Amino acid sequence: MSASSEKNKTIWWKLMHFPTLGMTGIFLLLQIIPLIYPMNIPIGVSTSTQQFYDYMYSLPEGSVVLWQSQLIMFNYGDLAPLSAATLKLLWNSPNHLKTIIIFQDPSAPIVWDNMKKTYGLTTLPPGRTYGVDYVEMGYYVGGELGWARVCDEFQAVYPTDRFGVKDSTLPIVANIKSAKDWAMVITTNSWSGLTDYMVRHAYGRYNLPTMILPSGMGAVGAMAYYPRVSPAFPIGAGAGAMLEKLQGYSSLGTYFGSAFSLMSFYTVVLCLINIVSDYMERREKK
Amino acid sequence: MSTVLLRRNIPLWLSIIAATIIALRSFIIDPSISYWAGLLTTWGTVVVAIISGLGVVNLILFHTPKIRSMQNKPVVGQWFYSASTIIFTVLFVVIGLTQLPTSSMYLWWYNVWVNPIAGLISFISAYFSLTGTYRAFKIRTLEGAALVIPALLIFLYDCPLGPYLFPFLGPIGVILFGTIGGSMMRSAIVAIGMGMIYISLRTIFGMERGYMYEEGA
Repeated sequence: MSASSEKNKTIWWKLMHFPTLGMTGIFLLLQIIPLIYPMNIPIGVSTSTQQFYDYMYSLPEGSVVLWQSQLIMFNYGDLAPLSAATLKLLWNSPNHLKTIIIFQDPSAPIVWDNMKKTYGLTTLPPGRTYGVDYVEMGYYVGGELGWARVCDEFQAVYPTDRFGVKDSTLPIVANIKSAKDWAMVITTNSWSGLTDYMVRHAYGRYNLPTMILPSGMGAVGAMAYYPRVSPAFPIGAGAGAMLEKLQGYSSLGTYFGSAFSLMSFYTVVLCLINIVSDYMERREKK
Repeated sequence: MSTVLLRRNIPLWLSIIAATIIALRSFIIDPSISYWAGLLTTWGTVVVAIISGLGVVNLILFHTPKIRSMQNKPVVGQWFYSASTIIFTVLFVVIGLTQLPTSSMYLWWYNVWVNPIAGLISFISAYFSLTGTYRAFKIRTLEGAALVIPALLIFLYDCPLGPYLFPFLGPIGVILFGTIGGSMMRSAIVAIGMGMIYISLRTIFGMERGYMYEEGA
């Protein structure tokens, strides 16, 4: 477009055609700055995240929670803060929840280790023991068929944990035969197809509450199950920061929450500018 | 044995028997049916694992001619992309077969190569979402308003600052996620479920043959 024709355009037109490079540049800065310089942006707690916190603490003493993680690098930015805050919540639960971790993707165990290292969760809190209160099994293959088998024959799929320790020497899984022995299922993922098949078997065949912790992009597919199948609905990095607030601490998840807040408000402001500009432009043309 | 029997009738009958047994498990509580359904599910898991290997062979067969003919279609330098795909596939297969996931070399390759690329793709999709949202969100009709206004409310509800500044978003978010959005998605899932029942019945009655070898296809 020539300089003269650009000059003739209204301010509304120019606002609607804000350069993409500038827009994404600001977006990038809003992500990076809160991570480098923590800004302590206030945190409110959404109803669906508060429901998650309350539900977990209302489970009976010593309940076994099976957590299926699809935390991979693609969804790491969104799901790592939520996974870290949830893990801390389980480890410090006053009702002594026992957690069995399984992985849906071959890369997920490595990413899980990275997450624990980044968020300072490499050692269990005092009073909790690996193999008694918490265990990490490997990843299962076969998608829905694999998950169906985990539900039906847990120990046949996982004769050992991911480090090769036999089930019989791990009290937390020694008596787990099938999904009947779990109190509930948690799934962190960014793929609605995965959510669907998790629900089909855990809730459909075993009537287990299946708590879905989706990333932002997986939330649309997962909301069909809220609030009946999934009693709560914490979503992505925002819920991670909210859970940190509920537990009374702040770490990287809170900083991610600040970045997420700035990005969300920036997007809303851009959309409002676009909506108003579009309306004014059309009005002036009339 | 004739080709038709091998390529069509045997796979067809295997599918019919497997689909019937697995479907019966949900309707009839019987130990022998559960046993056979469980066994078939296990075999299915093994088959899926083998298919992954077959996928690598297929990938190599697909890309090798493009490298041989130094192809520049559909994009300029296609042969280079094909070559890099094969090189990295073979490389990671070798690493996967020779190294344990806990070995330092495996972790180095994963953390240095796979992690940054996967993270980058995720962030690029975030940028596209931002610019796409900015360009597309316009209110020109009532239907447009019905889509855009809830989307903006969800943006605010979902981020930590939103519920802090606007506490009234709490109940609105629950209604949007649990009632309006949830019921829409449930209807979609029911529709998909009906389709799955239809496909299952077609498989059980031997009418679903799209997965089988067709002469001249």
